[in-house]
Amino acid sequence: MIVSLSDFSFAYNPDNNALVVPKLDIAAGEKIALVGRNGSGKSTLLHCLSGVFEASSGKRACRVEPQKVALVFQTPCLDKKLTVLENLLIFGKVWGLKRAQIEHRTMQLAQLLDLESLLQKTVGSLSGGQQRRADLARALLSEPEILFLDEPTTGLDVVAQREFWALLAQTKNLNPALTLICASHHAAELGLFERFLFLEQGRVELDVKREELLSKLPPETLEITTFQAQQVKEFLQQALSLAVTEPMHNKLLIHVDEAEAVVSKLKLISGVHDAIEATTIRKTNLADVVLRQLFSTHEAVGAGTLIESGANR
Amino acid sequence: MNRQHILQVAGALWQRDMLRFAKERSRWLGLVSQPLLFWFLIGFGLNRVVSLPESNGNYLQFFFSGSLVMCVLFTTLFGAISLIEDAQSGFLRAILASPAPRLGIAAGKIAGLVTLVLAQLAILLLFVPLAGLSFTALNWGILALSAVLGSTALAGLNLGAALLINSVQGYHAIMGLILFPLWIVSGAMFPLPSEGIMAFLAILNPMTHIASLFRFALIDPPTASQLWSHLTPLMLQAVVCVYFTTLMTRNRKARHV
Repeated sequence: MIVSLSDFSFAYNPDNNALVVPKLDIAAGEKIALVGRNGSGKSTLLHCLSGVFEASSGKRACRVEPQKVALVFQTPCLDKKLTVLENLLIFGKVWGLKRAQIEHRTMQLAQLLDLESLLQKTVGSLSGGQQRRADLARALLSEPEILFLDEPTTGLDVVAQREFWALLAQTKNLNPALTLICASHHAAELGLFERFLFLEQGRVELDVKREELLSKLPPETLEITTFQAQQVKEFLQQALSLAVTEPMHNKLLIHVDEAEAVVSKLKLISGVHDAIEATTIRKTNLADVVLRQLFSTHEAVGAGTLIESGANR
Repeated sequence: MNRQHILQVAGALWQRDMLRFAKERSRWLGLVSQPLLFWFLIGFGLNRVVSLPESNGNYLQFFFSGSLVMCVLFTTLFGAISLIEDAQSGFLRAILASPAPRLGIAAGKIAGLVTLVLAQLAILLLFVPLAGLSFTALNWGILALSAVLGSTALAGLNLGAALLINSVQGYHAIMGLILFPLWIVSGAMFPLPSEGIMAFLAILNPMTHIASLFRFALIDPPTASQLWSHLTPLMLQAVVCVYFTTLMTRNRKARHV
């Protein structure tokens, strides 16, 4: 195992544990997403795994030397008054790299992350997406074996978010064995990951591999756009006994084996049918499953019972 | 502890401060104007009415050394505020989350501030003839040594406190309530009594020793015992303050990253 936590707890103040992890093992090369709502403990777990936060009790074991652990925070950490190149030079030295290593690595990363034309520009003059790319270069400078990402696309527009993940996916060209651990609450941006840890109230409520997670929902998803979401949702839950996710106030998601059959039933109920603006049938994807799991974990913990607890298995 | 890594980190953070200084020259050089203005207004104003029986110089010359102390204080103080800005921008977080030795971080930040102080003192010393002093009469050795030790002590004190306080507003309060009064009672504005509680407290105040040493270098050549009575505590305070900043960078990691 490359990083392990055992009987681990972390508290920001002595009265209240922010995180409790009985056992968690992470193997080299794993791509892990820490998923949960705001305040669920994702960032805390990330910082505990990275060694930035020290245990209040229990043990953290890490087989990687500190120079090979890198972090990307929620906001870029570069000095905005300096150029990208000056920043990389300074951070390279802080990480203990030699000048020749820094220069070689900077050129390599500039090419990979499309930073060549930005190296001489001050960070403050760059767009949010460009600053993120430069910050990712900063993190990758020391050729890390583990890269921790704490909601790295916070504040970016959709295009910049997509660009960031595409570039991160390319880092496997530099180091295929790179262990990635990322905290996120955006279900749509987790395509890169193979293992998912769902957190709620500072506990890992579900630890699951990608295939197993995908098998948790039926293959088809019915997306309903409606101006009376509550009424339609109640009908689907009560009359058709379907589990409904409501990601937005006018959108409902239902995961079923045959979505067409549900649409047919809806057409027969005039009160409900009239309230529906559009229906779309598509294959269930990873984002659907993550979203559904987020809602069920939250509802289960909130209600005091767990629908399915795979915590720390 | 890897000594080479400590030096490399210190060098990198010093280099960063120099790069920023080059890009924000006006901001930092502007700090020189305040001690100059104080010296000009208070020094010229009180020169005719204040006599200093125990000093070789007049009040204008006496207060010139006090203005140099003010320059050390203000530069290290604004350096501490820029550290709080670093914490708010996230730069400090990335440095503290790195494997950089804490001593290297503290040394780099302090070295950057000491360099800025020396640059600003050099500018202020250009005004020595205006105070009626001669460049050749100054004791440059004492001046350089006390400037380095004094700025190290105050940089360490300010940076350590900034890591603890974490708010620019909070730091301004510290400046107004503690640091500026400490400057006033350091012997920078008026000679301190040689006995009593104020004399005792003055020993603990690094600015007392800086003010005395600057005065020795400018107008009152010291005896060996006078010199060491200020040099020794200032050296000790410099070491303690560097340790204080190092300790605060360690504590800071767990509290705020």
